[in-house]
Amino acid sequence: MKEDLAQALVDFNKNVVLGEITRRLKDRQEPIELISELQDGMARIGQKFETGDFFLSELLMSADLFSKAMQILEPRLQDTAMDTIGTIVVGTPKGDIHDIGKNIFVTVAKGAGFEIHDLGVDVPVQDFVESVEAIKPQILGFSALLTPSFEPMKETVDLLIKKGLREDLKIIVGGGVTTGTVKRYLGADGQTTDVMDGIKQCKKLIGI
Amino acid sequence: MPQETMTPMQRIEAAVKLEPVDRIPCAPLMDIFFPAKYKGFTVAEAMRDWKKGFYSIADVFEEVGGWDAMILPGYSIPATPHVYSSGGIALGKNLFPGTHLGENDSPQFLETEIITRDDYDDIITLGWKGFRAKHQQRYNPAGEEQTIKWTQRQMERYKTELKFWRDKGIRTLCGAITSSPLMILSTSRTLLEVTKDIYEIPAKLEAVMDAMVDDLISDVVEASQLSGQSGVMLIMERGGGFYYPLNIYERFEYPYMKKMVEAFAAEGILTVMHLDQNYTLNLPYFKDLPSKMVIAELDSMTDIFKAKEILKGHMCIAGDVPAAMSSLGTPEEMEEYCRKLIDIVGKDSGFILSTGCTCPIDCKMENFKAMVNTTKNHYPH
Ligand code: B12
Repeated sequence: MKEDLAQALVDFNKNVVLGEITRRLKDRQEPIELISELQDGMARIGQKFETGDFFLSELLMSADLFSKAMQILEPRLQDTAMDTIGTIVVGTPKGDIHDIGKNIFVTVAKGAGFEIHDLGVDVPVQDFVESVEAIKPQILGFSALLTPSFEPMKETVDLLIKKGLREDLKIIVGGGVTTGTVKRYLGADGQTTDVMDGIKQCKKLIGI
Repeated sequence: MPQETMTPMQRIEAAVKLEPVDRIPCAPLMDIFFPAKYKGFTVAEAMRDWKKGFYSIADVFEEVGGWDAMILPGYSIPATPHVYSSGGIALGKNLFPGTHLGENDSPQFLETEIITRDDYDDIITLGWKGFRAKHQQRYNPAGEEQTIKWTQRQMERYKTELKFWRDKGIRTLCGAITSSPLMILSTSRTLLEVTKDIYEIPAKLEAVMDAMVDDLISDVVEASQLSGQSGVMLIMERGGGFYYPLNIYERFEYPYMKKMVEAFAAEGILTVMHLDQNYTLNLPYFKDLPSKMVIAELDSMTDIFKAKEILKGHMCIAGDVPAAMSSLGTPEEMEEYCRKLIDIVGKDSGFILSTGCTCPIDCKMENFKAMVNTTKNHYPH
């Protein structure tokens, strides 16, 4: 009997999720199909979060399980291209090494179907700009817990404008220390201190 | 400008006790980073040199014409003379400017597991102090003698700082610092790992917290006796509605904080609940805490107006100028924000205007002045 992978993820039932994936891979089911079921689970989790039935802790548990499952599935994708709904480059700017918030965003955004390029923490201005140049994402995301990282964000945005890379790009900033003031300062298109709200904004920014 | 009729000491006392005030008191929660930067010292310089660090706060105080109270004196830590004493510093991997980071960087906290599930049995059997003493080498390789010397020097300096403010007619609210068991475990096990414990091994986690709480209480009582200041900052930044549903709050955060706050109140110790992140959902619980013996200190993520609605007549509220506004905003924005707080949260007393969590390192002096001055110029109706 096939277990409901999406529901097992919602229940953060590790044994069922990982057991089922191993079993179905053995039965030669395509990894891409499994990923799609897991993403369906992540979407249900997102809905529960929005209605207030789920809290960050539940999201954390499911997201952790989702990333464990992806660690098994992603290497098996080989040449199969995954359908993605958009591309995001994300990182924590220079001077800030916090990543828990960013990592949650990265996992949940993957779960929502975004292609994510995570530049890590303490990311220099130049690296953000070069990545935007090379990857051409629709969205650039900054994550921050410290006020001194506002300056490198601003420098990044200024350099993007100078290089003519800002126009086709949406910028969103997230993290506990960010506010509307920060959004205005950067001339960003979105801002949030809540991951699900961030996903919603990202979708809206690219017209989904 | 209306006439002041109270001294800063009287004003803060009245605000805490929810009695009438002539104007809203200002008590910025701040560390040495903004003052040091303002004075032209590097952050690392101010951290290495106590006098430079601490007295730069005093210089900012003079520069803006003073304020009404300190929540913490500013630089030192009220540690007790034991190897396990952290004096309230988050147990974890702290990275400091000058050593791990650049001279002018903000200190940062690296979230890694420095307590594992395998440690839980030891905590349950030995208690928090016993566990920390047994594993002291792991947390502080400096050795017992050195560590105790460090704690003693911290407390001596803490007392000097308290006296410095007292001589200026300024009361410091806290003579001790601690954290709730969940806060300690969240930062020393990581948010994710402690959350897994909650769902996967709840009974064990509860036993661990049971084994921690009495030791945390007795350490605070000792610290506040040593410092001579009957007040404690109780740090809770990882237990509220931003992170957890109420059933988890009711089992893993609330009973412990309640026990702590009640034990402190029984000793005459005022608790400043340092509530960072969003605690809006948890506000109704605070009505069961001892009245007028607790301050809810908020960082701008909690709905402070809702807090006033729920807690008025029961406990004083402090806060909550957002860090981002202090660093990026304008004096006009600051004034407008503070006026609104004074008018609404300050209505009928029970409010202390403060910085949300702390005054950020890159705060603008004109913004800081605007905050302090608004309490002096704008009186509650
Ligand atoms: C817990 C906490 C601590 C703990 C643990 C620190 C840590 N590394 O997590 C301890 C006690 C050690 C600590 C220490 C300090 N802290 Co502290 N801390 C916090 C607190 C309360 C919560 C941070 C947290 O754990 N969040 C949990 C994660 C999951 O949330 P998050 O990062 O916001 O991410 C969520 C969303 O924002 C979103 N998201 C995140 N990134 C992105 C990116 C994108 C693109 C999108 C769309 C969404 C998104 O998704 C996540 C899930 O919803 C914040 C307050 C706050 N308002 O955030 C202060 C805060 C970060 N701390 C602050 C300060 C000042 C300090 C200290 C410097 C204090 C001191 N004087 O020593 C020290 C050391 C510096 C440091 N932060 O490392 C300030 C920083 C402001 C400033 N001046 O720069 C804050 C903002 C408090 C405040 N209001 O002033 N802190």
